[in-house]
Amino acid sequence: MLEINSLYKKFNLEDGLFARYGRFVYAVNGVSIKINDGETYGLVGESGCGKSTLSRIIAGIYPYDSGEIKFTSKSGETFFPGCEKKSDRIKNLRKTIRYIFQDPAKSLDPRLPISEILTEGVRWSGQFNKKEALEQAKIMLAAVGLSPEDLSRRPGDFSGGQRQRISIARALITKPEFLLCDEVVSALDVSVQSQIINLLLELKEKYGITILFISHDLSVVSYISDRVGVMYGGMLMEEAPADKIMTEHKHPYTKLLYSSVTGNSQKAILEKNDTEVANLVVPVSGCPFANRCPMSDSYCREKVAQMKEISAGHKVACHKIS
Amino acid sequence: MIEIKNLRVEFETEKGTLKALRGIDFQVFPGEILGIVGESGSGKSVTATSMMGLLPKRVVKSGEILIDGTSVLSLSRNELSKIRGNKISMIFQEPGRSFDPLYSIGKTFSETLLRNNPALSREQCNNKSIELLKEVGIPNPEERLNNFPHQLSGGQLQRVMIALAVAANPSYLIADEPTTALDVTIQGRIVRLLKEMKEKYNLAVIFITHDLSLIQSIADKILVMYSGLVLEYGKAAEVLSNPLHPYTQGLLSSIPRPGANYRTEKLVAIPGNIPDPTNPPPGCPFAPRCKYAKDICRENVSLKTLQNNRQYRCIREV
Repeated sequence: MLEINSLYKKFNLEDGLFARYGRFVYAVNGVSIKINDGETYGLVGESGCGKSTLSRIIAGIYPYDSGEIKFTSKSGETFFPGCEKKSDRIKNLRKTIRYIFQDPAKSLDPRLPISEILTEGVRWSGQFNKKEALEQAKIMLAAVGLSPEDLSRRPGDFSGGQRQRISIARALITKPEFLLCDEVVSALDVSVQSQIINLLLELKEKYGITILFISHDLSVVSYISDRVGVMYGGMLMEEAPADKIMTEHKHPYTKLLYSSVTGNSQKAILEKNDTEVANLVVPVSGCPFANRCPMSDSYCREKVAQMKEISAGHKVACHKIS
Repeated sequence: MIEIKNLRVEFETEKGTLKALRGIDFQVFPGEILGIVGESGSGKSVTATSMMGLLPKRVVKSGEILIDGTSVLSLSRNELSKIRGNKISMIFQEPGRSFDPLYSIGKTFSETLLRNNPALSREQCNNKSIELLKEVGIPNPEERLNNFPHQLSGGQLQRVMIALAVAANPSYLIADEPTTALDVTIQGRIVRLLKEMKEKYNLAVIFITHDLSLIQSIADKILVMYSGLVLEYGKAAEVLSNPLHPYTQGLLSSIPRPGANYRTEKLVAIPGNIPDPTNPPPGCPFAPRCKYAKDICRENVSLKTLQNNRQYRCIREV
């Protein structure tokens, strides 16, 4: 189980020797999420909303500023991703929480054969010796629909969909409990996308994995997930069961998002859209969507809306919805 | 009217001859939006660049492109630059990379405007640019003229690009994945803008995309491409509600319907991968992945035309 409590993260706007400090990009502004074991949690949002930052914080790629992340493994051990100091605990955590990257063409070393790509992580986790690791690699390749002969080939010999299968095999080889899937189907062709979605669903069932599925594609997210969270301006705007988010969404931003997909654009929202995505260089005061929202007033701009539960499992952060 | 007849384009690569287009035919009529759908490597972008006359002549192996009766392939460089902009113009995929970063928006506009009418004064240029920017809904157009591309967001730049494309009143507009690099909420607005522009200027728009859910909100007619061939063509509503080719059917069933969830519906994926463009399969290119494929599919499958100019390339009868 993964619990995130009011997480904050800001980045320095400038970097390098001559950087001036004191100006920040406020990427994640108080996000709280709880993901249960065996669940697929979908995170949607436009570029710059903080969804990738959040997943990278969970993976321990970025440190966070304040808040808390707590991960309880199935064996009952509790980890604090990003705050672990001891190397064996970090190793343990890294094999339990694995990350699958967006573009398989860029995330696989072109010079390594598939066997090395798959077993490199295992070498560090110390789960298997070299021979066992190779055996595992064969099993995993079969599980993702490739053949053991492919072990000696290199990423360049494979198509985009096959490469993404290799990335998935690489993530699964350490027998993780939690997978972070950051836009894993966005770089793929439509006819291959559905293959990968089906594969993820099948593997999740087979190995009992919890998944955080991040995407900007709303139909894909609401298809693959059990629960969906909508992010905007580094905050969670709405959270609902996947079947509800498409039909019963309440937040004006979610309405805007979903109407852009289904085509029946909500005029009122679209017309007030002079300013585009929220500017995150200034600290967020009030609702980040207020300047695009048709329902907003001065109160929205001043005070941050807290998540309120409006029906079972359906939470909205909006002052105008009670 | 744009007419494309039996167009074949081949590129020489290290791996062999890459057959980008293997004989495609279609027409585009004024006042309609033709959506070209296809996956990567299907030849949709090559089709667009060949219409603009942007391809080197040696790669075009056969065929003809007629724009209002003029053959694009026989035009010289100078003649081509005369039709670009005022007859046919193009919007590119990534707005951020299609602008010269050292040119202000105003300078970009005056370059385009002066090219078509060198007699314009600076003031006329500015006024015309402001008018165009207003039309595409850019706030404070007067100030924007002094801005540089990096000061505008992706969605705004794409709107500036649309304004530039219609600056010289073209009859045809090619939009090659104009919304792929943009966020969904901005996507909708660009699509609406293109539709408005089509109405206003009676443009024929060729809208290229890989996104099937987007195409239903914009296209009047749809052309489905795969491996350098046309697999299906027809009115948008007909193609989407009653796809005749197994590839189109597969594509439509492999994207999750809005509101669908894995617990209630299974996603039917198309097995296999896109064919190798240097060695496309003979006959129907989709045959190796098709569940209805018979031996005859691997020999020769021609494009059939039904009533209302509905076309499909499959041995199966409807």
